[in-house]
Amino acid sequence: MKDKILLLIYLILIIFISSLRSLDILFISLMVLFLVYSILPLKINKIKSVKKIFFTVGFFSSIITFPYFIAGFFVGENRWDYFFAINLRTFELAFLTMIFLSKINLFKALDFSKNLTMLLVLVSGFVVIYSKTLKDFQDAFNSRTIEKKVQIQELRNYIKRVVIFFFEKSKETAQETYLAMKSRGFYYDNT
Amino acid sequence: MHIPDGFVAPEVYIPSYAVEVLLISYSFNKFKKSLKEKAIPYLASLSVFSFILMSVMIPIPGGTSIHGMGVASISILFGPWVSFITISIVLFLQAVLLGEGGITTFPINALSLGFLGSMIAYYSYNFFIKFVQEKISLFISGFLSTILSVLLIAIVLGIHPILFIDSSGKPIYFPYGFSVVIPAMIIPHIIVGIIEGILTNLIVLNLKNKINER
Repeated sequence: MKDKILLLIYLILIIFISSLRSLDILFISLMVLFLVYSILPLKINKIKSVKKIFFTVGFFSSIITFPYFIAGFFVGENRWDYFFAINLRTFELAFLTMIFLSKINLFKALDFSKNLTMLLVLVSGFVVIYSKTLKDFQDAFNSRTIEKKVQIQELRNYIKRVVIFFFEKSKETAQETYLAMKSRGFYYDNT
Repeated sequence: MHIPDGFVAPEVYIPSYAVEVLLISYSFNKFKKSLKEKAIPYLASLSVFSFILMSVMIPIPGGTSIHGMGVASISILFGPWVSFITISIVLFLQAVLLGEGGITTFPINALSLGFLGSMIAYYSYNFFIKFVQEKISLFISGFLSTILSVLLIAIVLGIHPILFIDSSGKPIYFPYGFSVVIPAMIIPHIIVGIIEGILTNLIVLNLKNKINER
């Protein structure tokens, strides 16, 4: 229940922050978020996480907003308030998401549908395993082509191998998961 | 294509979430009816397979690499509704677990890439195959699904400075109108569309027989 309430609060805050237009209120709400962030016990490296958000969000957001800000000089428009407001909002939303996702068990929060939860648990678990295997494939390919130009035929063979391997693996995984779920008495509840 | 949170108005993303949930429920029930108990494991493994197809990197000149989206391949091989669910799941997990794409931009990405992209790929493939070789038809469907999905995202973004402006006429959310955002998004995605067309060709031709073996 705790996770569902947290998810609801998170969604309300997302809508609230994304509706904010005033630079002052955006700044004050960011300060409040910072305060909450510094007080809350979170199982993450707080400084590292803030830095990561700052650089990632700052980079993507600036790609859109910075040229618009600069273009303002050429048309005689002062756009600094827009520039700060949009970047504050973007940073705040990313920051809020990080705080809540580190406090919410997403699978418990979404368990109003057993099917949805099961699907998300399975996919997120498999994604980690498959990504590691894909990385091995990519490293092997890169090591073979490190000092020469990649030939089209080599690339075709590589993609073919990757696609067939993961397709077969997915087929096996689906069958094994189905049997495992059945043996553990997983029933559909039509939710 | 990963638009950060904050650029899309709640008046746009809330209705988009509603449409996304309705379409997901419809497609999931459709899938569950046909596969019954096997629905969850099959959807899970296909979603992971979609994730892998979205992650396959193609090296391009200059030492960098680019990845396709796999939407057209999944749609042509497994049907547009299955493709829509799996792509939506992958985009959702990317947004909440991997921090790629925002939580407010998720429904827009899912509806454009997952829904529109899948439908365009499936129906354009089935249309063009009547007139041209299968290879060409696959390429066209991969290319069109990419370009038209991106066009929808560009349109959604481009309406923001028209609909959401403050009292002084300045934008509140996304700042660029159609004349900027459409070419800015479409032109770079022509390369992605070509890569997607080639990948669709490779993937579908290699997997078609394996799927028929099932």
